[in-house]
Amino acid sequence: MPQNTYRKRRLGLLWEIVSYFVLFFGALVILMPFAWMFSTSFGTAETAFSLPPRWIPNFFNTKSYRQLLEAVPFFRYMWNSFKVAALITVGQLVTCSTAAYAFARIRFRGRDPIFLLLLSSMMIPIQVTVIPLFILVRRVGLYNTHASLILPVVISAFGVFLLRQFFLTIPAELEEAARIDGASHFVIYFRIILPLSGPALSTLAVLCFLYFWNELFRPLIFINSIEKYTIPLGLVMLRGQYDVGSPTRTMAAVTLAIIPAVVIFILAQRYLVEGIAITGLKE
Amino acid sequence: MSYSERVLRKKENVTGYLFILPTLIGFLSFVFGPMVAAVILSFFSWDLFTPPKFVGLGNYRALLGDEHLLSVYKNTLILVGGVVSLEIIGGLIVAVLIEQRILRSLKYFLRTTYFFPYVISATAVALVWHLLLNPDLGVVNYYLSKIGIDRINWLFSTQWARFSIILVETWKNIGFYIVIFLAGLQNIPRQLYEAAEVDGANRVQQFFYLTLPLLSPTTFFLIVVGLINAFQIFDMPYVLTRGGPGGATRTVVMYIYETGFRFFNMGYAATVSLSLFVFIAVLTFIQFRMSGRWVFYR
Amino acid sequence: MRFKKPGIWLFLLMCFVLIGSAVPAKTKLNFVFWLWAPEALEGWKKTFEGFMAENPDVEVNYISVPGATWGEYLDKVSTLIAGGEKPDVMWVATEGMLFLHRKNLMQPLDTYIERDKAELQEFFEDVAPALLEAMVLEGKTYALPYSWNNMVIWYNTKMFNDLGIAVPQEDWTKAEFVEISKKLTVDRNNDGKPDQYGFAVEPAYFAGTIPWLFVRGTSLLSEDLSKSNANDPKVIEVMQFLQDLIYKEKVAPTPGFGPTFNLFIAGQIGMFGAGRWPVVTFVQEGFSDCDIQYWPKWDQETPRITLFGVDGFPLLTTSQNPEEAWKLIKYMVRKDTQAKLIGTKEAPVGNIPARRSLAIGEEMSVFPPKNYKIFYESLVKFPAKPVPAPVAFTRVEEIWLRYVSAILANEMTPEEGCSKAHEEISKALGQ
Repeated sequence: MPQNTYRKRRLGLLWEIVSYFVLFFGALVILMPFAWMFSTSFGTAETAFSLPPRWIPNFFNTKSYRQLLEAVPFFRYMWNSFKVAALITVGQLVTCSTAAYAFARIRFRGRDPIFLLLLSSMMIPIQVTVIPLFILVRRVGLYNTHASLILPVVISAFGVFLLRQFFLTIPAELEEAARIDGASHFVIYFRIILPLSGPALSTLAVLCFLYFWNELFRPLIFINSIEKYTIPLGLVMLRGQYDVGSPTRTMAAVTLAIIPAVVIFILAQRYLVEGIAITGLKE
Repeated sequence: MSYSERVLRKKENVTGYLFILPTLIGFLSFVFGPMVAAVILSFFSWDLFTPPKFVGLGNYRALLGDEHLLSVYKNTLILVGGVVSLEIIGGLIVAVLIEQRILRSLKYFLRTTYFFPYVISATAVALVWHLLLNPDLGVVNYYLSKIGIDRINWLFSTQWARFSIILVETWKNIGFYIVIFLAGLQNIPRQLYEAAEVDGANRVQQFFYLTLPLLSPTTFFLIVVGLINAFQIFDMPYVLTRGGPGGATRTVVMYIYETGFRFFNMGYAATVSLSLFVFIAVLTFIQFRMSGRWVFYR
Repeated sequence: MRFKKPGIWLFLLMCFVLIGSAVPAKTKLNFVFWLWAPEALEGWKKTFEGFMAENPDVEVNYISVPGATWGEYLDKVSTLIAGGEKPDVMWVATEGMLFLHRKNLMQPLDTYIERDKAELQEFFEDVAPALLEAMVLEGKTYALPYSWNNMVIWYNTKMFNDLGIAVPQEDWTKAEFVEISKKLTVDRNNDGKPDQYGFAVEPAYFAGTIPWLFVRGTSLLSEDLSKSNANDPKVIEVMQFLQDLIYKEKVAPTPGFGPTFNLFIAGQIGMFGAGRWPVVTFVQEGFSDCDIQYWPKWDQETPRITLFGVDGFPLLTTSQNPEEAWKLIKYMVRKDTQAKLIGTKEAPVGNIPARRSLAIGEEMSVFPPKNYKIFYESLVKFPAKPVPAPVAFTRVEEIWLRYVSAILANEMTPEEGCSKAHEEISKALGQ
């Protein structure tokens, strides 16, 4: 018996060491590209590709950043991305919360089949809808405008799904009490459900904002002039003619581009992670 | 139903529809409508500059005889298979390792770190990895050479280019899988493990006979979602390899984009996109069907 | 108050309307151009301001479209037009002429040219015939040349000096080229990997493969651009040569080595092929240890054929104001406008002006290369052909490059690659 536990404990220790090693090595692999990107953005054309790589950035060499900002209206891109993502997020918060409330709490005819249909639409790849959308946008004269990016996604099946899951967990007694007092659905939605849904709404808002901040595909199709570019488009353009763009300048651009995402991540990380976890669970 | 009940019921219906009206209108105009339009479009040949031409089943016949499309589907399946398997297996392993008796703050730090790339745009990620994976000057090959591995032609040979995409996609998304697996793992009551321990099961046995089955709903969810998302990967191959070398990393989505917006063959592009949709739908359906056999709900 | 009487308001309204209509509305011209690098925008803005100063009743609404190559730019513009935009004038190069022509997007300029013959006489005399002819389709002129580029070999003079290699002469052949490349390829630390290479093979259409095809005396397509020529033994021979440069002679790195211009500056690549556009990077980085030479002849017998691509401004059929648009087109070929193409130290430009007087003028000597007169001379000393660009250029380029990159990655033999490319290109042209 003692022999066994001794071996067990040794194996257990070995296992723990291996686990820690694997986990930290993994974390290193995750973070390494960002460190390299950051330090390269402060480098020069000669040092960009020097091996072994320089991990400590030379903070005094801001030439790439200056060159980048002089050549490219980067802050314009940021503003455009922000505008588009923010408007979409606000739109989704409104449409998804109202729809989710209805699906969760209002008994109306056809509710369940419609909800199922909505859910199944999550399976439709954007590529199927994007071609007819392009033709529609062009017909309506909205090509090359931010509206063409914002309007089609002001609704979201995923958002409805997420919020409905959450609303279902709000105790029915609260509503019943309000109902007895004569409150209409709208009042219940506005005065009871919404205030209680801070976390879920924040999760949806963060997920939505980040998704559209990072989106490349639709802007690539619908936006064609530099003044209206969003950040991913601006980044792609930096690859330069025949792929000969300057690596330090590109890294500077990427560093700037991800700052907002990083900030949001640090501030709202709890909502993000927990919100996603909930999605997985309720399935 | 009494009269007042009927009035109430009617009011409920109206209110309900009012609440879902924006979503309903949006859905019909921007999802369902275009989908129907895509089907109609697939019977035409249209380059947007000259009037559309009705071609009946012409696009479909072209689809079946399109060798390039076949190889593109092959690429996509390789990518999808690789990405989803790695994400799930890798995600599970890391989640299990994190969930063990590790300090709470460390758990938090690790989870946050692994999740970080998920919030960064694929474009930004691809631009950085494009430089890191440079076969002669990149950091990755440099460190690999230190441990004796020969220069790998990451982005410029067919097999390694595909592998690069799989690796970078996994690297970016694994946090998502880890987080969900962690939630699933945390949902398994400790008592079950303790009971198993008492029954003499060792760690390995506990994992295979307890953890895995109880995680199966989570795993199922991740496979379904993961596959649907993987089929739509566009940003990464577009920026990292531009579909090269030799078209080895051209995905179906890229093919659709090029057919529509580079070659201006809208009808055919719609047809191909519909084929993608059917593919995904059938695949999802098969998964749901098969789920009865291995997914275990408590 | 009296103002409440509708009559007064109606009177005021009529005044506004009358005044408004008396002020002449500015004619708006929609101008689409390729912004191949963000730095180029300033130069364009100044050109428009100059035009608007001379024509105060016209407003130029410019739309800058980015892209990595002419082909990409063309895609984006097509999408723009397909999306409903109605430009008056656009900047287009050889690569896009047939496409626009087939889609009926360009108007012939002959009547305008005839009308303003006196004014344009000196321009026509200042431009090489090859450039003018490239803009003529089916006997009608569709654009006036603005700028152009050809392909020459750039070499790093410092590297040549350090290794004691004689600089390439005008009539150098492929054999000498390979010799020089071998001397330039050096493995200093003896780790089996060269630290500098002789030449960088570019898996590109205009900028990589077509120049070699031309000096071999062949081309990717038939003369009338209607049939594929990809399975011609000469084409296969050229691709084999390029593949061997990388894997047999080992004087060229595998594609994807890195940003060619930066590596050239850093002394890691001795020679590469390009037009005048590297000047932009070189001026920005303050680099001038370089010069150019004609593309090497295949051998002493085969005559050299110059590859070029020219661009200009067609008048689009979507234009609502053709007269004003024509004024803008004429403005773009004026000597002072084209002089901007020489560039400045702060805003270097990578094109060659279409006007001979500017291209071989003294102003160009401020920038590298020293041998800049070669650019223009290549158009008159040797037969010059424009880059082969059929209607389905984008498609053909995509197909060709797909196989080129497979061949240059050593994953396909040139025979296999070229014959497969031939099949696909034939299909693309047949459509």
